[in-house]
Amino acid sequence: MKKILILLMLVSLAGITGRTYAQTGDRSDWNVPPPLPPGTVPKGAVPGKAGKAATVVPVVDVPQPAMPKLGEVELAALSPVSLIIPVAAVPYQPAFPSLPFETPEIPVPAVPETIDLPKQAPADEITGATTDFPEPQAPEMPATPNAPLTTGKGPVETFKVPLTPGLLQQPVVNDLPGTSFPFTEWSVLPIVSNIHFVLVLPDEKGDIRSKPKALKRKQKNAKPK
Amino acid sequence: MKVINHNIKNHLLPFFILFIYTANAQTLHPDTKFKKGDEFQRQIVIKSNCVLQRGGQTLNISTFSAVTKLYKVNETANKGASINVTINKIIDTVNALGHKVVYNSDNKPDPSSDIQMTLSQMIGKPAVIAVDETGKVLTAQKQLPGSDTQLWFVGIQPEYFAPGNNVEFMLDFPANSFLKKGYTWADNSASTSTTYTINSVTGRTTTITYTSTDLQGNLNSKTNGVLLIDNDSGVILKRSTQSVTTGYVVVKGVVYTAIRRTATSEICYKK
Repeated sequence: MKKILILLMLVSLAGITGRTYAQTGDRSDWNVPPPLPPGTVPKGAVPGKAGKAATVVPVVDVPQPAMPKLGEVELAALSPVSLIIPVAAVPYQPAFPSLPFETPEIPVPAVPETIDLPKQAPADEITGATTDFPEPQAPEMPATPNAPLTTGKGPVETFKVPLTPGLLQQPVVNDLPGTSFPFTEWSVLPIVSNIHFVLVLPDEKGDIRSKPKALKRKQKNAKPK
Repeated sequence: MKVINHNIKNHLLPFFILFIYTANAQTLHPDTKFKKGDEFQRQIVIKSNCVLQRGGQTLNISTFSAVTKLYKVNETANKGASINVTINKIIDTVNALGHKVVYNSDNKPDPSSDIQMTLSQMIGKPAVIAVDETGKVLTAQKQLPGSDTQLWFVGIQPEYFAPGNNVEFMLDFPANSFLKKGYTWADNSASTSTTYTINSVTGRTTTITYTSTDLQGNLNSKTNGVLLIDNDSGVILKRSTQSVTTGYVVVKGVVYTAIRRTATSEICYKK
């Protein structure tokens, strides 16, 4: 009896220990490492042996996409030339620069009245309301930058990605009231009986296409002949 | 008969002398007597207010400028002279669109400023002209730099040497001791009409007031001015003006209605 108990205890201990070890190294579907960037996995790499360095493909040019056609740029129309003379302030008379000899004083000239505008204004020299909009030329390829150096080593970031969320939780379906669409109980209309109908019976040959004998149903309240 | 002839001859001589003197007096002009190496320095101070307008767009430009020019006699011939005209100094302040540009030719111009670079191109580049003894331009081999439109906006008065016109620092007027206050005369051309009036006369100077109307191209101008002239040389020692110009100015192909009011004070003397 004692031996049986010890045996049972050993089996239980082994089961607990194995379960404990099984919990380490999370290898569930929830732990999916991100894919490695290209060029970081050397070909032929095996544990204990370095593989060949990946060849970085240089940047190649791609065809320049066609320039989308733009409509002509139209400028807003100019306002007509004003025929009203603007108003400008009269400047004060500046002092004379100094002379190396004395001179008599002279009177200050009177401010003249505004003179009329010329009879005809010149035409605007700019022609048309559109402006030239030259298309830019495709630039040349810039110098190829240096490719980043990667060794394939280094910390790999891992993060948990839920693959099947909500799997353990079933949606709860509550009983819907009978009046909620589309569960509304449809009202069943009574079948309308047609008292005037012709019952087509097959003829002796069993063919209903020929004119069979029609059996007329006696009308109610029909007067006897 | 001999007695009569002798008496007439004696009496006619003074009449001839008086006639000649009178004729010369009517056409007497100040004789400048240009000499090689003579230098005339002219300083012009100008204040102006200008308004450009097109539709709802209005541009106000205020300027203050002080320009120093030198007129140097290189050669003389037949009482006339060959003169080099050079702008030696410019001080200019332009206020427009809330911005202020100050230029002094004594300082290095700012390469990023179109106004300063334009003004700097005017310094030290002489115009070469030939004049007669009254200062009237005979030929102009080379003009001063700068276009009228550029100078108009920065408030500097352009000087264009046209054959038949007097240089601006001299006036050809009938200087005469018989001229009194109130004497008036006119000088008219195809586009310009000017009326001069004697204001006062002294032994050495004459003060003249004038009004001028200029109708040419797209601009009409009216000027009231006062001159102080050296009677001997005809050099305008002092000049002050008040003027108004109205018309149309083309800026980058667009026509604007414009008005400009200007006040000038200038001096000129022989160094």
